[in-house]
Amino acid sequence: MAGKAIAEGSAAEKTRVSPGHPPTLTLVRLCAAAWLIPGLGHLLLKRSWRALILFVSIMIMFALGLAMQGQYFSASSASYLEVLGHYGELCVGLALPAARFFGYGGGDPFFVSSDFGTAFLVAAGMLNVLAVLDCFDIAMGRKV
Amino acid sequence: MALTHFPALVIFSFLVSVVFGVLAKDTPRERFVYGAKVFGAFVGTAVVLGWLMYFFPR
Repeated sequence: MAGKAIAEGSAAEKTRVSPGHPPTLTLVRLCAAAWLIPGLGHLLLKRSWRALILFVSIMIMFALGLAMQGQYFSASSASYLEVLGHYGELCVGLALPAARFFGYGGGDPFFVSSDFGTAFLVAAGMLNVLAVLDCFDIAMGRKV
Repeated sequence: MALTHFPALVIFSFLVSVVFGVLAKDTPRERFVYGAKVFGAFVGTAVVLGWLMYFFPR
């Protein structure tokens, strides 16, 4: 879908970008898709196996983080590290609001594995950032 | 789910190694070798640092 859009693009957008680069709007859509659902960007670029492995790995890491009562950080915290942690967790995409929707209240800081769980949640977000960047590089033709 | 340190370390290392291998290399063999190296580095470094800290408990 996005691969086709990259190949075609609108005539107006083609005039604004250098040859060989997909239109900016297509890149933004692709990266947004890759951010919202881990692996979706690769799937749209027809890298199905890579997409599947990324989706499964990142979702397992996120699910383990929830199972270990990892904490949600707040953006309004006084600690810069917690604010960074909040944005790190947001990077996992729709999984975070979905978990909240299904009743996950943000973990229990007194649970024995809570710190591990928090690390898993943030790491899942960070791995998704790497996946988004990889997706961008593939779309730009820098990677296979 | 309550995990102790070592299983948590191994699971974390495995998942991160899989993603690193998939993203960093292009052929299945290269991915496997790179992922195995990253996994070994994660676990090995943690075990070595753990033993170093054992001798300096405070």
